[in-house]
Amino acid sequence: MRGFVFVIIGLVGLGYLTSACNSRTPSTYNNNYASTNTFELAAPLIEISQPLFTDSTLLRIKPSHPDATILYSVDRPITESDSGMVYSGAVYLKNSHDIYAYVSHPDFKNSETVSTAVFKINHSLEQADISISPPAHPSYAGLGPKSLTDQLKGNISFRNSNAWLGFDHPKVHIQLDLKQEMLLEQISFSSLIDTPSWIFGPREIRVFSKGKLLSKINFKEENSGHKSQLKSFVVGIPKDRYRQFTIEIQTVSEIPNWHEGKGSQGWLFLDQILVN
Amino acid sequence: MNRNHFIKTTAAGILGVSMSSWTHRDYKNLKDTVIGHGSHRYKIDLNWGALNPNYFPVKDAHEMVQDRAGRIYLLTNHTQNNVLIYQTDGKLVGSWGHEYPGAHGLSIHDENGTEFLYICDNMRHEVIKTTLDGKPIQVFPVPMISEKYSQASQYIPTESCVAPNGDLYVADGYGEQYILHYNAKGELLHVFGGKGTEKHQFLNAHGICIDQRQGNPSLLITERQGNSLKRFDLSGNYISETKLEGAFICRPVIHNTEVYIATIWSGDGASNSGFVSILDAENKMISAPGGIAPKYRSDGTLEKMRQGIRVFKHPHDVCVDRDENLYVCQWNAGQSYPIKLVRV
Repeated sequence: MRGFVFVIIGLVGLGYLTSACNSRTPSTYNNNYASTNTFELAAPLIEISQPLFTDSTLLRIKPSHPDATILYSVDRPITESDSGMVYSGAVYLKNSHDIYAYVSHPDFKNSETVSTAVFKINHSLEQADISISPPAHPSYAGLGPKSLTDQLKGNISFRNSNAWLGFDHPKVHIQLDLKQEMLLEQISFSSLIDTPSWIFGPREIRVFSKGKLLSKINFKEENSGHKSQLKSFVVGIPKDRYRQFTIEIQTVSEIPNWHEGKGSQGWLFLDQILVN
Repeated sequence: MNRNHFIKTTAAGILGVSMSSWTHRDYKNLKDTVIGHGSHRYKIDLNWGALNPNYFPVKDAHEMVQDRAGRIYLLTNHTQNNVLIYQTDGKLVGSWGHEYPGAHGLSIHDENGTEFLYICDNMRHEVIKTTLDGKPIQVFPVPMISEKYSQASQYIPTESCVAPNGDLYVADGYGEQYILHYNAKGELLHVFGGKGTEKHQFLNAHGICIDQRQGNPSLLITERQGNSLKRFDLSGNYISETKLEGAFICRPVIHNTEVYIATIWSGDGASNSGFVSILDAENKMISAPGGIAPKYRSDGTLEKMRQGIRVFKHPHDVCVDRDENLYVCQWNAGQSYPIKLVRV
């Protein structure tokens, strides 16, 4: 029995010695340097040759770390069960899409997912008449109501931009006269979501023509994890020929409880209206 | 040996082996983070200078300088202790200051063997010269005599620097964007710059320093919103500009032949997107700790910079010690203490 105990003790000692000799003592064990798994990679950069296009546009995604893998998805938000496709080079897009992308690296935490939207223009609205009530806030008045039909896309950096119209009212009414009849089945609203800046997407959009309600769509509330993104809100309408629309957009009139601005009126930012 | 003793000993041994394995398995894949590029790369000490915030709080940790004795002075706009004095190992060795609610800019100058601090307070609208232990020596008030201001609130100084002849230059970086030139007595000699987009004007003249790397002293002034570093002679004549697209640079700090600049935002200016910019003797960016690798186009222009790893939130200043380690203090970063970057 005594011999068996010595064997056990010997094995234990050998275990310690072996592990101590074979392992490089990690620097995090004996100093204050932060290990790689402490940090999140910065988000990748999504570059679009033409956010509004008539034929096709080129999507490029640049990593924030040279050894990171870029993952992206088209029209499907990244989820735990759908981590996206590996990006291996520039992609031509021929239709309107929402693009989502993030980067991954075995040593670091994944980046946040960033997104943007591209729009195929089937019908130019440059000749259309548009009026908006109440008007955009003077600080975010862009170039007036025509900012929504001038084919000038905004980006995440909304301050000092003529592309965006910012509204801080519970409802926004838009009168749109296309000046000619068009065969349509969809109206898209290009929007910015930036909850730290109190900017939210629309809660509901109603589209009328000749006094008749064509469509009413409710949109999901943003949550506390929502990151800044460019997002399109699409409203389908019965396929027909239309010339005039009345649009009612209900904004976030009470910011949700998770937000520092809870209970206050939220902002709605729009930069384009597109019809298809 | 009885059976119980044997079981205890064996169990302890097995536990020891398994704990040992667990410990090393847990650590073996960990790597120290190294940020920066080329010759200027750093490990990160997130705990340097951390204090009990009940006793020594910071609000925004705005700027830092190092004195001849090696002590590091951190300026914060928390009036419980506007100045915290550290050793380079992070140990606190002193604190002072309750009267600087807008403490923003901190520079140090050796005046005939005695060192003095200059504090730009953007709520008092003044620049205050103090001893190293906090005794006010001289106040540079709102320069109404310049006739550039109709009320005190228009003058919001962010940074100052002292020329070799003792003249003081103040950047009105949050105000009307003028650079004010005083002699050592506090007499206003000259005003130049101003808000605008011409070469000699500024959009957020946030930081200023004296550059003697090329022999004759000149002024380096950051134009933060313009992502630009501008050079003027000491008479206020515009000389040149270095564009650093995507880098919202705060205050230039010259150490040896390099310029170190905390970069509060990057890319399109999103929140929490900062890094540190390091420029060589020709003001070319050679490293960007926390940022992507700087890359120059064939025409010599810098590709737009952005964040690479989310180490920093809003870096506001960099202090470089004698061992070439960096101390990065941050604005609007959860009332956190500086981060030390140890050069590797």
